[in-house]
Amino acid sequence: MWGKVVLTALLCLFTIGTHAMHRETITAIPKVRPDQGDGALLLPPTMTQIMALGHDSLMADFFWLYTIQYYGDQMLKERDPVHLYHYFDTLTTLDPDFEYAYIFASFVLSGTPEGRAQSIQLLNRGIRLNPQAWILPYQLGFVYYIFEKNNLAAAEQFAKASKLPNAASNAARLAAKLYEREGVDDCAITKDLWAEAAKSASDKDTAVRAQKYYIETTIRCDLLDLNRAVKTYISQQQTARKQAAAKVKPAPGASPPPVAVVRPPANPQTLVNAGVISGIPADPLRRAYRYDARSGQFKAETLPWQPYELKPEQFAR
Amino acid sequence: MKAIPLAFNTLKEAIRDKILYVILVFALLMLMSSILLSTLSLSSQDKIVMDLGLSAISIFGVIITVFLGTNLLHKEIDKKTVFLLLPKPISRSDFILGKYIGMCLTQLIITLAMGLAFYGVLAFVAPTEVSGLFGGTAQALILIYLELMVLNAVAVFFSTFATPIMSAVFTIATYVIGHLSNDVISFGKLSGNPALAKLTEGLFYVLPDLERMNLKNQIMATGASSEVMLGSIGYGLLYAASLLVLSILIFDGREF
Repeated sequence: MWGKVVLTALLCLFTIGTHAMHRETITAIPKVRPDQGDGALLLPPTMTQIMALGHDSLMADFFWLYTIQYYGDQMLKERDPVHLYHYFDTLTTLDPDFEYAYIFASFVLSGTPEGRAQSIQLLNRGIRLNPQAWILPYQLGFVYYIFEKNNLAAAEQFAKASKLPNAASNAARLAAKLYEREGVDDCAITKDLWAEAAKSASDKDTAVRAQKYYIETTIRCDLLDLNRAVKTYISQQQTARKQAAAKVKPAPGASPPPVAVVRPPANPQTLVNAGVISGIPADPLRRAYRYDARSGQFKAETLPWQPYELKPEQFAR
Repeated sequence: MKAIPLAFNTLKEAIRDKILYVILVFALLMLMSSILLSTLSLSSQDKIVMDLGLSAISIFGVIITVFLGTNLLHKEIDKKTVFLLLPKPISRSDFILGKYIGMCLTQLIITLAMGLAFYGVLAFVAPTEVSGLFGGTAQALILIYLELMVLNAVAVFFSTFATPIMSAVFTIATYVIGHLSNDVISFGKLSGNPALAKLTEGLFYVLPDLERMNLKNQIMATGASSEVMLGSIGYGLLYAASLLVLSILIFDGREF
């Protein structure tokens, strides 16, 4: 009995010994060169999908774990993770709903122009396949804003994100701010975005701030429209007077009479009567805009939180 | 219905085969892997646990079906117990049905137990989200069980005329092709050969389309509509029933 036990123990020891020696040999003579090992899982995504035999999601998870290990490893070795896009492409082909993979890909790929194009491509595919996921257009807006420095494209993506269910409240704010920064005078978009931000705000403070911006944007847009209407009115009157003056033939040798300068309308109703505007809007707090007949400028009433008046250069738009 | 006592007998046999130990292995594996993966993964731990859990239930179920289902009839014939049963007032169709229902009962117990272990792990990893994920995962589990029912029928069908090893090979092959059913059609179309395209289309209708019961991704992402669910359930049940009838026909003509 004891002889058998000793024999078993010896056999076990020998087995472990040979295995340890074998391991030493493997370490001494690497069979895979480090640069070859990187592309260990480089199969076409569709081929990998076929091999998954219906367990696409699980395969995507394994690719996810492999990808983050690969990225971390390459960063530690200070090497360029050249196969990163392929891994992300494969794992999002296997599981197109893996939202976090698109987000992580956009962070780690966007360091180079080529990587940025790839991350934009991945995010666009994610948006196409997950039309209700607000985080994807939001992230694309982030890539455009931070890495591409393309404010307009970023604003478009943030605006798209803000319209989707459960979107972060700052998506609409970011879009509105970027539109404003880019000088996009699209009042309808900006007003809509601030209204959306106010509605989807997670806290009272944000809601109040978004509401304030909404009121300010509405007032700015109304004032722009009204002041444009005054200019249109003056221009229309000037043209009419010039045409009337042209019909009057001056006496021989006499110079044509000067055309009188058109003064701004005496009151806002004149604009409506002249057909320049259909009605006079009130501000969001239901107060009439103040009109200065001398300068022909509309101004807003003082708002509850602080005096509000548009700067002259803003009328020039 | 004389098939019912036979079904319970098959279930008892399966329990005696200690097949239920698989559940214990599964639960331990799930627990260990979820703890390990949560440290390895960057976010999405609950997703990994769900994918791993549902796939593990499906893969373990398929393994059990192949090893248990393909031996089911052979064991009776090999041990000559079938000669004791068939002279009694039990029809051959009752015999096949009883074996099949017994296998399905065993699978039901195993799937339910693995499902419980799965929810336990999910509750451990994502305690706040488990209630929100219950509906989708339950739908996925129903479809996994349905897939196993179809595969049980496939295993019973092959075991009526083939050896256990050949039945296992055929069942595994059916499982693989069943998950590539859409690709089979695509390959036919890609070949540009109209005859081959027709042949692959014919194969698509004859072979079980197991992808119809593999809606894990869709269910977890957007949920499956009742039409899709009922369509898949109806298809699975009809396919299994057709195979059983075919198995009965073959078994009826067999001489012992």
